[in-house]
Amino acid sequence: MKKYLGVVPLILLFCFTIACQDKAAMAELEKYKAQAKVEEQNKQIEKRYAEEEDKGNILEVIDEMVAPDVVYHYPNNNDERGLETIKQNEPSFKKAFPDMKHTIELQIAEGDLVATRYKWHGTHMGEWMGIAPTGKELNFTFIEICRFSDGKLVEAWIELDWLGIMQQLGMELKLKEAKK
Amino acid sequence: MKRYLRVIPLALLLCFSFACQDKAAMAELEKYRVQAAVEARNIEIIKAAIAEVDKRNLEGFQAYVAPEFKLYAPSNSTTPVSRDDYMAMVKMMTAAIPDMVHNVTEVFAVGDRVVLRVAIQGTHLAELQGIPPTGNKVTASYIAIFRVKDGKAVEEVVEEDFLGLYQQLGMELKPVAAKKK
Repeated sequence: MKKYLGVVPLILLFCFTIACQDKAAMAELEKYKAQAKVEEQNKQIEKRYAEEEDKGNILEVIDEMVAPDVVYHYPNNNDERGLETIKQNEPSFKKAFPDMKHTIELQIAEGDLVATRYKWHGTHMGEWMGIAPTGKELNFTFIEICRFSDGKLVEAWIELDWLGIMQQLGMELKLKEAKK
Repeated sequence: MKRYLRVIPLALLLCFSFACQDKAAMAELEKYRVQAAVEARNIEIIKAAIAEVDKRNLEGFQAYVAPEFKLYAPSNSTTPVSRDDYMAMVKMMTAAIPDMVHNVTEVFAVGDRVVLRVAIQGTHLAELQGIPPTGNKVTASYIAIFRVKDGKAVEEVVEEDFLGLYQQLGMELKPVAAKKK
């Protein structure tokens, strides 16, 4: 009888060994799952940012979504540094294009980065970048890569065709500094 | 004795139950691992395609880019550029900017897509699109989103600032058609 009792601990030891090998795998799976969750959260933050911009409400909520030392990199080495600078510049878009609308065409995320491809349109009803209102419909696309940390935006790279935009606003014959 | 013998199958049953629960988790883990491997390979494919352009090896480039490849620049372009047209554009650009190189500054991949932010730079040494050589060092950056299928790029969507580039080439903002990259 004791002989057979002896087998039980061996079997249990065997099972625990297999279970322990799985523990490393389980930890790896947990890591993937946790990352997927963060990626989804970051995508939602970006989505909400665009929606609040369109509503003209972005200043009310921007502190929740953006870190104080954030940097926005615009084309041609134009950077906006710090949340305070960005807050100052934000209202001008909505004022100039009251019906502005972002449409997300594609959004993909990995780790702390989110890439979003946008369609943008709005009617030029107010002065913008020194250009008096033209009443024209402005349509363009752009892609943004955003880096998030702990649920807040810390860095963004925005690429868009300023030449196309300026041409749509009838600025073909003037040299304009690519700002903001 | 028989009583104790019965414990063994119960213990085994218990262990198998744990093992079976883990099988679903292991399958999920495998899925993540496989996807991570595919994404890493897709990044290598796109980086290799770009490296071939920098080496001016258009044959090597074609190994990484499918014949049906389409480039949309900007992303809402209604006249996408074919693989052949893209290679012709590269020939034209590098004739004017012989030391043109790409520098990938950010890159990541999700599923069948690869996102890159790229800075191109070079010296404007010969005429480009009617613009006389300035000798200026020019630099431009763009974001591209590639779609990869069966180990080759089949689609690229690009947003790039052409105004800055033309300014560096010594151009004033004149009625110039927004050229695709």
